[in-house]
Amino acid sequence: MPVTIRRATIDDIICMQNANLHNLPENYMLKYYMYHILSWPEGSFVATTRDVDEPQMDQLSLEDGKGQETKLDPNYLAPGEKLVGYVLAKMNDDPDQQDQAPNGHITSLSVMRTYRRMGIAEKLMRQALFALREVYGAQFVSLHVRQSNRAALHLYADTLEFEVLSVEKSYYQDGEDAYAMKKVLKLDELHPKNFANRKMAEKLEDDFESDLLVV
Amino acid sequence: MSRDIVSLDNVYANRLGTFVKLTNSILPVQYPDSFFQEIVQNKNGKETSFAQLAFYSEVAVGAVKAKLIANKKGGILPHGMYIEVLAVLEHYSGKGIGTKLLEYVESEAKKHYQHALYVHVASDNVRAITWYKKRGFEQDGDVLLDYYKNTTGSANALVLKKTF
Amino acid sequence: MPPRKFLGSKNLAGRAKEHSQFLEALKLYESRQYKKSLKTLDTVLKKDSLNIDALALKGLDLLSLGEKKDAENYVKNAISKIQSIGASAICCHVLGIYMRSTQNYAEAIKWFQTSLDNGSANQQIYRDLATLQSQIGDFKGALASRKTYWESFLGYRSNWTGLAVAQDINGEHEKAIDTLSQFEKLVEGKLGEPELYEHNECLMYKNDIMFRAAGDNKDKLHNVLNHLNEVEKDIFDKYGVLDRKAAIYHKLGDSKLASKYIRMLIQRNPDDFQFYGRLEEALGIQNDNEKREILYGNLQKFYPRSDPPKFIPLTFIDDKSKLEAKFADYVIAQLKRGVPATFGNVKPLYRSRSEFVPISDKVVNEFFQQVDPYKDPVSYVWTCYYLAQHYLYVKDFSKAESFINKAIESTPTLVEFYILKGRILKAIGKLDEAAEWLEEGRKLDLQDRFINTKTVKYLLRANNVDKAVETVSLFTKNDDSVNGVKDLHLVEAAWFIVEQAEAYHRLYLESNKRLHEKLSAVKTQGLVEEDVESQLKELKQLEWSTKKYQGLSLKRFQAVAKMYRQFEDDQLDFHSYCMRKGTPRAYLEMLDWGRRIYGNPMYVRSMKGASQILFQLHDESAESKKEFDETFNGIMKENAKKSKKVNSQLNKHRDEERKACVAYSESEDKDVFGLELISSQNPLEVFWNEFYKSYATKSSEEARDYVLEFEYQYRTGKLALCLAALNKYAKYHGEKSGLTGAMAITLLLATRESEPFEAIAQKVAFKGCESIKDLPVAERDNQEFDWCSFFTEHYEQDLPSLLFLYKHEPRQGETYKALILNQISTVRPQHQMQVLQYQL
Repeated sequence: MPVTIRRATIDDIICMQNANLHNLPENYMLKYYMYHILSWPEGSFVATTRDVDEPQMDQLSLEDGKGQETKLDPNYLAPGEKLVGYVLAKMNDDPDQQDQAPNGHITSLSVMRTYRRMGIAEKLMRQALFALREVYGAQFVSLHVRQSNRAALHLYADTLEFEVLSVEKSYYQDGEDAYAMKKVLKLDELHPKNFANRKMAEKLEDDFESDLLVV
Repeated sequence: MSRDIVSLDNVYANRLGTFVKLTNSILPVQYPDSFFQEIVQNKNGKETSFAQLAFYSEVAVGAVKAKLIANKKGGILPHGMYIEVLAVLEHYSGKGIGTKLLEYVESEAKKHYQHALYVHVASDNVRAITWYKKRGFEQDGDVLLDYYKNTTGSANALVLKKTF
Repeated sequence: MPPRKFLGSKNLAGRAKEHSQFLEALKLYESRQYKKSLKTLDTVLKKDSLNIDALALKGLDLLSLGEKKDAENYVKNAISKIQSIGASAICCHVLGIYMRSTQNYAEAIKWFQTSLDNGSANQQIYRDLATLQSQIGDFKGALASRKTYWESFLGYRSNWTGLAVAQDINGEHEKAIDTLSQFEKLVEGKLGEPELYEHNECLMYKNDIMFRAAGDNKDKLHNVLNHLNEVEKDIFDKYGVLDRKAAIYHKLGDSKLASKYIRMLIQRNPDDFQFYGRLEEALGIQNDNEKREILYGNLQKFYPRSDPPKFIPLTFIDDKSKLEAKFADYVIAQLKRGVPATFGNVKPLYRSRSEFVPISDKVVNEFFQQVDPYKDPVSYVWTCYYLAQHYLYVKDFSKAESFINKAIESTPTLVEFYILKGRILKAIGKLDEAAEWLEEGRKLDLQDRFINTKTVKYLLRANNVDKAVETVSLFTKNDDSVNGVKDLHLVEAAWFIVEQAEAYHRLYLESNKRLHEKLSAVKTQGLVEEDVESQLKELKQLEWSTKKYQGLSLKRFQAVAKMYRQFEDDQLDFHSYCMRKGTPRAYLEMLDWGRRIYGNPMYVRSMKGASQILFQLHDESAESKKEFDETFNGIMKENAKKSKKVNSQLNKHRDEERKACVAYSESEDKDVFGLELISSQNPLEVFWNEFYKSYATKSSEEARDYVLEFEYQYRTGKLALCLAALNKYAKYHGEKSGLTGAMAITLLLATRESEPFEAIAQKVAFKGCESIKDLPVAERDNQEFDWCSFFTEHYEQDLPSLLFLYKHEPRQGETYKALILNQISTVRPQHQMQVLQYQL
């Protein structure tokens, strides 16, 4: 099955942590993921896929009573369900910044390299931005991105229309600078339906009433 | 951050391997490691070496490396810009990638008040010779015998020159 | 023994002064001035060495300073005195805090409770109690504590939420709803902006409880719906509202409204497959493929950028030419865009509908024929990449390799191609070469951690631990270490730790084999005169490597188990945090997660890895061990002088080796190589305590590994439990399954008198065997009976079952081995080698 995008739950966090460790140099202990999910349960999203391998030949797998097989691999959430991307989001709860309007922060976003070019990162981000605005009333959202990360810069600046606020010198542990980026959130603009058929000439929208079972 | 299908970017130290891979798989000549190290070293001194990677649809497919020719006294009082490597993967040729790399070199030359580009081409490399000539290069001097050492192609070379 | 109540003091005047000093020390403790607190306590203890309060607090101070051992002594001392003298409420409280800090939650609960019994007026203890009780799953106790605490502090929402949650967990749904409603009334019209979020969560939570309690009762469901409509304006989680409405209407049988809300959900997130299945169900068309096709045709127009409407029809369309056309549309669009995961996206179809294998072969090969690599290199290379994966799947390895080579030749700068090249080589068993190709890919982009991770994994699969550690350390924080192993433990990188454990285990098996071969060679032929020293060195080195690798392997498996215990423990803070934050719904999900955590794939994998080592340690007979030691030590003794010289040579490197293996800070862990772990006198106990207990008590019955259960109980001698495991396995996997047969035979033969099991257990197991279909129990004592033939005639033979019998039935070992060698040709070369090298 190709990729599903859905809200993250606590059942996903071990795999989110694993994906983060596979893809990015900034890592966090599981408790930090718990803190995100238990503080802002509606703010984070995951991309998962169904994967299968040859039955029973693979030593590293376990079949459950329903005949479903879980690969004993760190990417697997449940029988056959594999996590390929995530976005971990939070609200700014810095006690020193409580004078600001409510605002969100993207702690971490990554997609496994073998699942790129499918727009997964964009879709994860659109869901997260919408949720931060709709559920938590975030007026804007901020994030940091490595200067050398071409793909991420393109996503944030071009596709998602973030603006660069400043360059933070030596933001990362290895000394690389970060762009601090920000996007003002407007609920109407953020609804995912606005992006369902962006490139199509003819924009069709479901009215929820029409009969879907006739041609 | 251009959204063009072809774009150029610096050769960051982390991606030097890509540059090496491109050069080694496209060109018949084998360069020593020190040749590639020049790209990421000498950051503090005066800029005399220039390199870029070319991306097609975000895939690295071309590379260029050029340097200012220093005069014999050691200072930078060069005659022009010398193209050491300009290569594009075969399947990606004819897409304007080489031209873009060449434009880069030319603009860097101009920035450094230079008025000429030089390049060595193996004498049997008809495609390259035609390509350069189409872009305003002309043969400069005689054929250099046994110019290339570590090569699987012809050892003889021509010098091509473009002035502007 | 439960501590007695405080009995009062003999010398009141003296105690008064000491008591005030004690209180001062307590204050210092509370303000984290542990050293000062200790000083004050020492003056108390100088005068009254039996002062229990001071002893207990000293323990806590020491603990806070990291002096665990000393702390424990003081606390033990205090507790032993309490048995005769009794304890003050404060002292009990202190001891409770100590127990909580050392993760003895049940003990902590006991002491907190005693503190209250002994007259403590500190109501905060109830909150701490509720937390601890929730952590250990005593929800009844937690309800009582939450309630008492709530009564004392009615002014906080968190206490109402906590009470409601506790009531809910205990099945008191009506009371929970009532609690939440009461609070809503209390705050009506008084909520400030910052409280609106938790208010919305609690409203939704109340609706959750109502919905769960309603079951399929239509009246109740209408109530839930009414409530939802009433509060909808205050709920921010609009997704949750739509989801609930869709579920209610579906349960009420209102397909029109149910589908309407699901369509709204799809519009909010057209990339979630789950909604589409629900929509089909709501429309009642799951079995009507014609209608389904129309449905997805329409949805595709609304959501052209989303996969489900395009993909789902591939799972049900029957008409072959239509299917082929749809498949071509789906796949070729992705290949044109250069989507790396195109094959991954359709791979599930290969398995669920095998007709896709030839369809895919045809469609993509045809497409490949017409792609011009000069015109469209992107499509060309990704099509090569697809076909390479396709041929890998159908085990045509040479075609797979030729396609990936084409891709690399065309575009040698794409990291993905090197990964796949490595995978293909791995599948045909060329592990070293595979790792080299990954390394080649890694060099293209040193900043890409994904390829770094993959390379490390391949290096470990090739047993190249040193290079793997060197490579992985490029992305870790190696502050005070020579490599990143410690950091990877700190950031809980289970993938690495498990792969390293498995590599160490393979190295152990290899080294052990070589050691025994060498030793028996020396034993029969003696040492070659002119080369004694180097031979001694080889033997010693092998002996050390064998031990080291075995120890390290178990140590790493244990690290993963520890990590999961930490995950379980990480919940502690959230029992009260979530109530304050107002996230009861997420909190309940956490509890559920916490109950299933030990069934997680990586935990199971580590546990199984550890079982191999610990079971082997258990199985090694004392005699064979003794024999080995005698031979080995004998040789060394005979050459004592040279042996000593060799030792000092080898010891030179020991420190360097140790540094490279350090996983925890050295003050916390002295057993760097895991040598203590493997020298335990009771490996089964280690297995139970460190790995199996949590799994056996905390994973769902369906998901449990009953072969492992059998193997474990077989070794503990509890044959009745083996029988139970066998029956469970047969229930889930079938009576004809190979492992069912293998376990049945093994169990039956274990009931023979000659076997060292307890007679009663044997009797019970034998009785059980009698009711296993076809099992010829009468042949049990027949030494000539051919169990192997019986097995092959009655059960589905497969590799795992043959290996099981090979291990358990040495009498016919050679026959099973022959069958294994025969069976092995059906699996990938990679697995063939794995079995040949490490299991036979």
